[in-house]
Amino acid sequence: MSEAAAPASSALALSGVYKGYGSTQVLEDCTMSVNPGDFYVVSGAPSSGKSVLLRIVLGLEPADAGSVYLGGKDVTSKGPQERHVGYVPQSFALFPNKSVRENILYPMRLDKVGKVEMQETLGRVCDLLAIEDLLDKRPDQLSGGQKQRTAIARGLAKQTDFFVLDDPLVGLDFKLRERLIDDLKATRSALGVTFLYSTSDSLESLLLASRVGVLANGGISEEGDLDQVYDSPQAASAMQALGFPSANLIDGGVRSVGSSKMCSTVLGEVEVSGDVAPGPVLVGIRSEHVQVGMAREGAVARTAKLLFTEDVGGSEILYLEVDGVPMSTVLGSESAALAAIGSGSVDIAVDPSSFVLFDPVSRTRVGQGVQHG
Amino acid sequence: MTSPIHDSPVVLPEENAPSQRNDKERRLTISGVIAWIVALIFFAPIFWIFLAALKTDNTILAYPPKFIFTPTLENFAALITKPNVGLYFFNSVFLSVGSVAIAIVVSYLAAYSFSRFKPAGTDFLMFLLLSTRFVPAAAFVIPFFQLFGILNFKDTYVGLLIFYVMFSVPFSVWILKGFIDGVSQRFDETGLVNGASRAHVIFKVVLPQVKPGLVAAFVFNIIFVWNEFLFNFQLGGRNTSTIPVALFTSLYDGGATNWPYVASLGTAYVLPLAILIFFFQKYLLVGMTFGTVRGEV
Repeated sequence: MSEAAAPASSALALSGVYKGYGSTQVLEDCTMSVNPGDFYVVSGAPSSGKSVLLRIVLGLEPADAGSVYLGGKDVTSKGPQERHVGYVPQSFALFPNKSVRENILYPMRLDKVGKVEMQETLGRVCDLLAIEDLLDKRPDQLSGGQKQRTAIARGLAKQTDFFVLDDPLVGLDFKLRERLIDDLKATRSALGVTFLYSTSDSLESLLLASRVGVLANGGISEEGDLDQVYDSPQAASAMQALGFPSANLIDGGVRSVGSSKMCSTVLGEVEVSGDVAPGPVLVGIRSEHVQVGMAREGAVARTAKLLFTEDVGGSEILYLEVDGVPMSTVLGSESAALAAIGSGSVDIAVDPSSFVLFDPVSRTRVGQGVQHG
Repeated sequence: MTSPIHDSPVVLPEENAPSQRNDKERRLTISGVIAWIVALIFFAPIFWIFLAALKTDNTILAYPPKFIFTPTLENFAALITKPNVGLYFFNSVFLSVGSVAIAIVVSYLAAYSFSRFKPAGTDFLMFLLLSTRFVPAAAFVIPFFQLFGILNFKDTYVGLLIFYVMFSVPFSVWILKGFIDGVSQRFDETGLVNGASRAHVIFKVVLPQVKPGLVAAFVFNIIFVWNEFLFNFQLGGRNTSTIPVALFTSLYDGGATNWPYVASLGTAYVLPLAILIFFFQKYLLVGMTFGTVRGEV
């Protein structure tokens, strides 16, 4: 877990935040930091506390302990009105008695923004989200996607540079989500502002984030640039949360052989390096690193039972079983390997370098496989 | 000429058979006729009052009743010259509209608090509110009579306003809480995050979305207060009598029932409420079901 950066240089910093409801502790010592200009995605399983975290940032819920800094200022005890944050709630929450135009103007009317500036902002957000022709409609005349665009437009109309988007694409169909994902990225960079975005969808995290924070067990288990967290995850939860399909986590055992260490799993035995003690470990292998077909030099190979496949548009997920251990892999729909698959069993292979070892208790990274040849 | 396929309405196969369709139509007609007969029986006393108000003193009680007669407005002319009739009307309108208006404001704020802040024991408090309706009103008369005596509230507008507000609040809180619960808290939060005060959220964000509930609570309580007799009779007096009490206390005139007076005052009393109910009848269902049935409102 990384410490909060000096609050002054960050757009948002949380330091040691706790929040519980009755006997349920939702956030425990949650620390994170968002840099100005980040598209920061809080990624975590459903009900891992993402919404609570966002609500604490917005000031809609008080934290039980810890501090919240916005733009370097301590806002822990400030109400939501004083935090000047743009907000796109999870449900659209468009005022049914107001037109789309009035909905979008709402944050600016409250801030008593001048007429000229108001029209300029309205034009800009409508342009970004392509909703100019909806302005005179009422929310009940809009489709789901149009409502979502309007809600995002209203959130962005706030005259500020920090925006919170609480899982705004949840429940939308695949096509629409894809389009809005592009829109959101373009919008953030066009405005040059900071986005704090929550989602439980790993694909959304991968497509949107410049920086990512993985929320697990009440805290940010890992945060950093998307590529860095994706390529060398330091926490098992981060490896699982980022990846589509989710990374394989299988049991393994490490033993010392002379001066080197070997890790055995159902896939076979590979040499490993790192600060890893002999004993049980968790081995993380990304689904896309599980190859199908002929094994390359140095890879461990097994024949797996094919349980079923799932077409996710453009690629195919294979659900497998190796000695009773469930695994998954992903292949392009056009892949030759996919065409070669019969029914029943599949030959799979994994390069040792794809092995990431985690401590089974702390679930933090302790080592990785060593590639020979 | 258009094709016959397009001309014929879409009918379900079983309704195609002429005999079955006739059966269904006949049943509908019969139930319609029965409904009309029952409605007319219920309407008969009101109709009698309306007719009587347009008759002269000696034709009102004529037997057999006269349905063909020369209508006259002289009863109404006599009514407005009567002392205090203006006061009775003023009292009825002022006490019902005034108390219900106050009650709606109080209830709306209370319902918002119950819905959003959920103070400890909300369920029990809501039950307590409703419990005032469990006991027959007559059981409260004596304690209120004594209380009003001690507080010098008898025959004062303040006293009766407070009483009717108190009587209208529980019901309104129940109806309005149901409506406010139906408005997502994300609306409140969107307002607050964008810099709105709580008052703005209550009156500008949530209120426009619960207007049907407000109308339902208003109409339902107006009907109650407009028709209230017992407490106005006991706690009111010369200055604060409403029309129901006036109808009762001035029933006798010179040793006999003053039918022209009763009929014309009764008609003038029923009409405003009948018009109100006619226009807002869909809200009555909302009131009778504590807002759980909202229908098209």
